[in-house]
Amino acid sequence: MKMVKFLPLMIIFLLTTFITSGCWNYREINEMSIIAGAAVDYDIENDLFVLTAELIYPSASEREIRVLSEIVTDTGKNFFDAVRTMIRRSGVKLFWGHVKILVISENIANDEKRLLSVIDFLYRDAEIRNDINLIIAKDKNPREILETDIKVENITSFYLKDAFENEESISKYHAVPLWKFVDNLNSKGISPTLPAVTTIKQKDKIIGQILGSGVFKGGKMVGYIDGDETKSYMFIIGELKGGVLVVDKYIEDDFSRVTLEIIRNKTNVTPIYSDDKLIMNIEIEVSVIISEIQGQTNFMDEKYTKSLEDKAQKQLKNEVDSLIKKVQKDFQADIFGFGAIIESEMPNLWNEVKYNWPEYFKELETQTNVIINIKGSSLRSKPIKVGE
Amino acid sequence: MFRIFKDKMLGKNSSTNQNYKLSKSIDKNIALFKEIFKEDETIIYRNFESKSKDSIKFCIIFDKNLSKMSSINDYVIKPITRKEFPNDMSAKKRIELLMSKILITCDNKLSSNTNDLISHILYGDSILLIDGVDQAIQICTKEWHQRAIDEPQAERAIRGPKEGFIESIDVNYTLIRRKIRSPNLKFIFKEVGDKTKTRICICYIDSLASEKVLKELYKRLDEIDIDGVLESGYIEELIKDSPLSPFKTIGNTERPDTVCAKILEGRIALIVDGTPNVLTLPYIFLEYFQVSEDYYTNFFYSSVNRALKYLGFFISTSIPAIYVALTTFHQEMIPTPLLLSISASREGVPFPTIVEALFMLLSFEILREGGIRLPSTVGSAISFVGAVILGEAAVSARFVSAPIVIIVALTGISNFLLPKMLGALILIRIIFLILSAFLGLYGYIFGVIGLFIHLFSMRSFGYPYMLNIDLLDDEEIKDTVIRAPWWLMHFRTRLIGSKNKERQKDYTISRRE
Repeated sequence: MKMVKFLPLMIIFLLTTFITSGCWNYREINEMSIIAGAAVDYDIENDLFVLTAELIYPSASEREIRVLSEIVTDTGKNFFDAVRTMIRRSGVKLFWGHVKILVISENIANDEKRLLSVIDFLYRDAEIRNDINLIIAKDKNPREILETDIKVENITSFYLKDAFENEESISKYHAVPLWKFVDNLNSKGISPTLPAVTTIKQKDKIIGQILGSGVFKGGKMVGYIDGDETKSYMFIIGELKGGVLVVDKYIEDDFSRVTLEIIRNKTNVTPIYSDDKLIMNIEIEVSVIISEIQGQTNFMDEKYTKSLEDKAQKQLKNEVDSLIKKVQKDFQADIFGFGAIIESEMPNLWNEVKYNWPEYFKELETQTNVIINIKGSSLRSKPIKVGE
Repeated sequence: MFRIFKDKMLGKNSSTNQNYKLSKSIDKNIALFKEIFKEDETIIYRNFESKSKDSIKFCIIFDKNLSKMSSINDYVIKPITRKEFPNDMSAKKRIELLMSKILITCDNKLSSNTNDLISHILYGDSILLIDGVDQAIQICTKEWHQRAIDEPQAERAIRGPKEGFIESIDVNYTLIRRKIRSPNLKFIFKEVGDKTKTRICICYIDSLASEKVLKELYKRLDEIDIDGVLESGYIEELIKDSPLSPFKTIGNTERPDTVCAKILEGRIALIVDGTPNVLTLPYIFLEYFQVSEDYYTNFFYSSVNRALKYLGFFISTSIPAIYVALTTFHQEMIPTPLLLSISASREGVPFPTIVEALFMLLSFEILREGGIRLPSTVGSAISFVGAVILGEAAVSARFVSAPIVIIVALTGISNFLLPKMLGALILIRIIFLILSAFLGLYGYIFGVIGLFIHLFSMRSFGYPYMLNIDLLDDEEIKDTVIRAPWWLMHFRTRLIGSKNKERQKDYTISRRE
């Protein structure tokens, strides 16, 4: 009996495999368009979302495979509408599973409703990954960002993605994946930032350049901080993993510009409550090595090392303090997550201040301690002496 | 259902074997045998008489090709014709005299069962008929040509004995006996097959093998009612557990050292005359992954080889299915550069991925089956045509994409890590592939679950088929995924060796410490 039932079952199995090859979710790879990155803009006159996508298609010749890209644009009443209408430009269904970046225009970032409409779709849709990088197109139409002439890699989106992955050796911008942006947006005690990208003209080529961050407050963007400020920002939030510090130092009228490479950084932010006053205590401990000396002073000499460390500490402290002051004064957006730290360390206090946190944050006092340890000087112990 | 069908077809086809009776007259007896071996020119009837005046008539009957004529001449005919038999001797005395003083062959037996006698003639023995006696003497004169003991082609070992079983049960028996010189090693001979009367030999160590398994084996062997057994595969299929499963529940090997190792673990071997493949039972899933060489080479090396075999099992069953699932359902799981290169190679290929995969797997199986039975010179041409021409041409003609050729080649090579599992692997691979073409990884996982339910539900002669796979006991893991050094393997396999667990005494380890 077993055999009698088994055979027809097997035949049905085999037949349906061939007949229903087009069933749900069955897609052949070469029958869809893979999107590498997208840009969204808002057309205020016609009240439409303008979606630009960078489609990638491999072209296989006899021996080699080349990946080419193509920019297509279409519009829709909202983001998803634009996503679907775009099919008429590409012909086949678009595959959003490999999207690396999404460029958002300033006029979307500046408007809470529009921004949420985009973010909501990205976060809700099953195909789009939660770790795509969001970018603000600073002073530019986001489409221009995707249309830059990239030489290294043909695909702009991949180039931007790679740049974000190597941020730790630059530290002048800070990549924010979608999930983190949404988390910070949801949270009361921390305001999100997004990296900003713009285009610059170099000779006759237009290339993209990521620099600085856009600061968000509530559901919209309120301003920018530049690249060096972003570095200070990363120091405070403890995300800095590399990068360089450039210190100018006079030793007995001998000017030296020393570049310190950051190899390790540890930041500790603790709230201190005393005398009815809340002070955020920021402890930054950086390990660096000397990686370039412009001058003749041997900074591995103990007394000079100490003075260089002092100078660098003072400089970094100033940078950090001035960033905090600027953010408090200009944006009142708690991008450092002080609120979240207070919430976890002093929940009772947080319950008192959370309703007017932005005002409280504006007046919040901070106290910065920077410790810089010079651990070494790469392969050379002495600078190059120029013979008389 | 099948039984009713079978009975109807066969009707009342009872055995045609009649029991002939020998008479006291030699002429009648000769006529009887001539009647039985009608039109058979290979049977020789040699009549001769003893030396005395009123001589006694003798007749020796044998097959001229199966028997050694010179020994018949020298040890049977010559002594009898030179001997005088007293006239007044009774029949009984005559036989006694013959057996004890005249016939100088080593294995003589008196018998009156004609069926027995006939089968002995056909097995190379001679039958001596004596006038006035209603019995006959079987004389051992077997001699025929057999293959020399050779290294088994399918189970070669770089380190280890290079001898393999041959087609003769007597030689095979000696190969085992020579390795285990213990009176506890028992050999029980039986015959199966109405027509072929194939001799089989059950071989075990009675202080190790379980009586329950032996009893069950005897029961199953007694139930066999088949006209002929030409290879141990007949018996394997007739007595195995889970007869519909593609997996073996009875092992087979051509290597005497493997058989001996299994006997020493408490298993039972079954030698079948006419084939070099000896059955061993019970057989568990793990034995697919064990080869005799594992136990001869360094245990690190053996453990690596074991791990490779497990990997080979995974690759061979799953890689095509996972490839199809990923490329047609879960494109987001493929890294972007890989996705692009797969996408590029699929550009212009007209068939869906599943059709490609099935087509390539099918052509691989055709090549395998085509090449396996050809002489090695032609076989290599086949594999060359298959690998180079078919693969390369199909890709450059855009019939199939390049990744699927890689996948199928990898699958095919991994196949040969587990040569004994080949049939099961093909079936599992195709089922997994179809399931994942249906439902993606979801379907593949269904297949895996189904496979494991099947494997875990199987038994081999009462022992769980997945013995020792489901636990990570520090004692039992020693001969599973890894092969522990010999000085650590104190115990025989769980359950199978439970009658006498201790393989070696502890002193080896204490001496080391």
